[in-house]
Amino acid sequence: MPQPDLTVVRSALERAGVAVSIEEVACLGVVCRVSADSARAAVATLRDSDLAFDFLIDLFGIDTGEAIDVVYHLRSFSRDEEIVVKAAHDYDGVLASIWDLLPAALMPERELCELFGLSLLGHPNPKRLLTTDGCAPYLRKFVEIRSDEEVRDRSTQHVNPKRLARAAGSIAAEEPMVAPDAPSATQDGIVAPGTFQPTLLPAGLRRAPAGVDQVTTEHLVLSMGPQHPSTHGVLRLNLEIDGEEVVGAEAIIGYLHRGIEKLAESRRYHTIGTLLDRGDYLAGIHSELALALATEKLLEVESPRRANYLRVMLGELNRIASHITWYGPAGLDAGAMGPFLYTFRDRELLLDILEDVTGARMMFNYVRPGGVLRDFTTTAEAKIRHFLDVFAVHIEENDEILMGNEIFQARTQGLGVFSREAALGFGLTGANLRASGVSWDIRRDRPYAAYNEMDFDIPLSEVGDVYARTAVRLDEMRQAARIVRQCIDGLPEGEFTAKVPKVLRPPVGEAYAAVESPRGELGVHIVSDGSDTPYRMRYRPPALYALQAGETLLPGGLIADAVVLMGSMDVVLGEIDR
Amino acid sequence: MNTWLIVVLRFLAALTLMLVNGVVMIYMLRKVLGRLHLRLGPMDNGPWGMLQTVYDVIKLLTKEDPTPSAVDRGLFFLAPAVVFVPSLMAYIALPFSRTWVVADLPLGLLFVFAVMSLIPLGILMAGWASNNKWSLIGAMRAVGAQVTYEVPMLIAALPVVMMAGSLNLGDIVRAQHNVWFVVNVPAFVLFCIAGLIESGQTPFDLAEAESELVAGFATEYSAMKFGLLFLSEFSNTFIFSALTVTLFFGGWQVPFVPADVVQPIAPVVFMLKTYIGIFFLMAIRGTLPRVRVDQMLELGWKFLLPTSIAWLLITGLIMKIGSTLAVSR
Amino acid sequence: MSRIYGTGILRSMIIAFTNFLRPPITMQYPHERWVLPDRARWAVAPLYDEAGAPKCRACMACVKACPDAVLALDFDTDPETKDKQIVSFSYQVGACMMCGLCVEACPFDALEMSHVYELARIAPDPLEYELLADVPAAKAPKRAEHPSKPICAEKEGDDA
Repeated sequence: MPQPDLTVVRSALERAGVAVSIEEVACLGVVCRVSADSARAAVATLRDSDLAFDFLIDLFGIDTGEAIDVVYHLRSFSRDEEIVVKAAHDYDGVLASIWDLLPAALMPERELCELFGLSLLGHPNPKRLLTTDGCAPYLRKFVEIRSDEEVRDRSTQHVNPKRLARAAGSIAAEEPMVAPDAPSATQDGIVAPGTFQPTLLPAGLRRAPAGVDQVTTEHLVLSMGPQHPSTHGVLRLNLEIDGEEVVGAEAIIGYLHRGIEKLAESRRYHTIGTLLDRGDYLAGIHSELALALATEKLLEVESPRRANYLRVMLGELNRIASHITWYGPAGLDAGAMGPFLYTFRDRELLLDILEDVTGARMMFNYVRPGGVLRDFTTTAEAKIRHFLDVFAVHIEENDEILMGNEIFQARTQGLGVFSREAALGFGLTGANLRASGVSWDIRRDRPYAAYNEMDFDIPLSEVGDVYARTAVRLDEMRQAARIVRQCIDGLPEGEFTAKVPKVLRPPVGEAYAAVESPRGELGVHIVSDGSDTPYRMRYRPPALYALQAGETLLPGGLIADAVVLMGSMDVVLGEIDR
Repeated sequence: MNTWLIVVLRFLAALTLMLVNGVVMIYMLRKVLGRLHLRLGPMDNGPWGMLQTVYDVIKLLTKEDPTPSAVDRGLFFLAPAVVFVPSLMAYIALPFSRTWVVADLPLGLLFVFAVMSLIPLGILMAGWASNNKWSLIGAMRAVGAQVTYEVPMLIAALPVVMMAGSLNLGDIVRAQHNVWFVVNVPAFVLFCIAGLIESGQTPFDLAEAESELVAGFATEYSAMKFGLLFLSEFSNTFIFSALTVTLFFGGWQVPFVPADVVQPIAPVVFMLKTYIGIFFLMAIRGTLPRVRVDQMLELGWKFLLPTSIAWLLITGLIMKIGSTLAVSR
Repeated sequence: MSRIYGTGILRSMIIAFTNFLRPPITMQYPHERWVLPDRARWAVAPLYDEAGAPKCRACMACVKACPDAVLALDFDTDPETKDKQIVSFSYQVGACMMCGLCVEACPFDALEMSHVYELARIAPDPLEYELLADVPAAKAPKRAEHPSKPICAEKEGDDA
């Protein structure tokens, strides 16, 4: 990973009056430690200086036992560098929002504050994101999860916030997230005077102009979801509508929240994959792979070449399965029933292949630190070759039936346009980012597994609308099929797993590994304390960033647009809610 | 025979036809969509699943029918009837053969349009009375579509009326003895687009757009009240297809075959043509995406209305020139 | 690229009609059955030796490995012979996520992920049942055996 020049970073921060201590952490890169008060200034400086760290990869917290480290993981696309900023906050501290600097922080900040019990200052919508009122800040270390005995007694299981709050002791469960002196979201001037005023307002604040006809009508609040035919899981959109026109929108999530990050802290490394499978349930191989890569970085283990090929091959098959499950419903969102069922004939073949190799159709539990769980099978090879032949025909048909259709074009072209700047600001990754003209693909720019041996193109579009996102994903499926063919033709002989101990105990340290999942940059950040379970595992959900970006574009469209637009962002609620 | 008895019998015949049509069309829809989507459709109940729809009707009839507490009860109960009755009335004017017509109305075409335009009233009632936002939006869309497409549809049918010289559907069919009016392609296309919208077919099924509005105006309905709404929707599809056959495809006639020869099987010919039309409607339903509501209205006001008026004028002009030439020759 | 408006719609319809003529891809499920791949993971089942006795030695490895705590093993140890008697080996199939970690953890090849996939029940009771009950646990063979298994590898011989 290319790293920024330490002296440049130090001088830039010190010129801005930020006291900083910089260290280089193995497996993670440059880490700047700043005080809680100057975290916002540090991020602003890094963004605005020549370093141009204008992309927020992730924002999360770590309970170190003495304080809560708020971690800002930043990237500069222009210089191709990454940096980590850590700011230690007191347990009753206040997190100064950076949403006006990097709007990508909107939802992660809310999540961080509710799960670590911090107050949030300067945020336009400082509400809980994932949990209900009264839920303890469970990512703090002293909050314990249920023991095995409690888990086994399923008769007593129900959501009981008090059970979680039990260990919280002195923390008032109903403590608001908003700092007492924080201005409320409804007032004017949310952002402290003198700070940068962004043009991109979050959906909670952005209001579409009154209806086209300027007629004053009563607005309806329409709760779309969590049970709705086309919200792709349990997403709930609270739409304020004026007739058919959406004037305000807010995405409400958390209906599928299971606390994967907390649960991972009590799991051994090779068993965390079962949790991550259930995060992004459409692309389990990728999340397992991200975890395996992060663990391997800490362990300093290299997985064998055959394992890398298997990882790439199954990952790409999984990518096609995921994209195809997105493409069919994208047509269904627009009302076309046919493509939905046509895509499922290919998906069936794919899931059969994946089941043949891994043993399960979606919850694979296959990629492990050190390699993969099982070797490739001969039956799967025949199935893959058959699939590749069939798919080459079907993809063209599927492409034409929807993309060539004038009605679909009229529905999607010019809708939900993300400019390059907006896409970067909101932390979009993957196909959503590439549809907005940013050529960035972790498979090419940070090669992992066997991708540096593969020959493939990165589909790109400059338009950034729903149609462009659809087209980019379609092309990605073709490229994925190409990679699979290379893998199966060049599958090397050898071991499928490295020699690693039965119980993994990575040395103390931190590691971040990202993979290009079908939804974008899926990262796993592991903090190890040397024991057999991670001290903290952070799962970067690309769909969460896509969701908060899509949310902002809803006002101004129609109800039908809202459905198509949210669908086009490829949100998977298992991953968003975790 | 008693005149009243005949009236009642004819009415019952129309009602039976409508109900049987509904059951057959639901089965057909499932099978056609199934095959379009590489499936088989229902297969288990009866041979090739033929009894599936019958079971479904029995289920709908015997199901508990809860009424949501916040609905406007009077309108809520009335709405399915208001939707159902006009589509039944439209059957009265359809000529299944030279003699098989419930009422041979001199203004048959106008009658069909008139009663069909009552349906959105029932849909609006259903949407409003349900006290549900999805229902209300769906109902408003239905009314918007109705207002937009009533006029273009009628105007698109007028060239046929001019060519036949009558508004009586039987006369229109007889006028197509050798040449079907589908030769007037633009009129046919315009009529089809308007009719798709009028009968709520797929590229324009905005009133109950499933992926947007859950089930539109029918969201709160269940059991047989839902059954009636559902039945009337299928009935509308049938009427639209039958009307297209009557206006453009020669009704019960087979070209170049004397009417006396066709007469014994005329209703069969008519139903066959109608069901072919329904098949295409179902194929469209299984394939095409849905337009947005503003696009539908734009299509109506900015394209369909001016074009249909223009084509009416052009048809008139061509006919005038044709007849002048014929006279002068 | 200018096209006549509507040709795309026509192409869509042609593709749909092509599919209309193709054979169906579905399976008439209760009448036909899918052949599961060898590695398919479904309900956990105990394995037995040639004599029909369970191979389980009541070592608790699977119970400790289970992330969802769906397995529970209760056994009595004879104070003299140190032989173990399995009182109950219960399994909550309703909460099992079929991850296969118990089978990986088993050092004696006494568990498998079976191919029993029709697990739907109309009442919750059968969702917890005994895999083994009131049977003597298998004894270690006389000669010292060190079951050496590479980590991340499954039982030998399971590879298709």
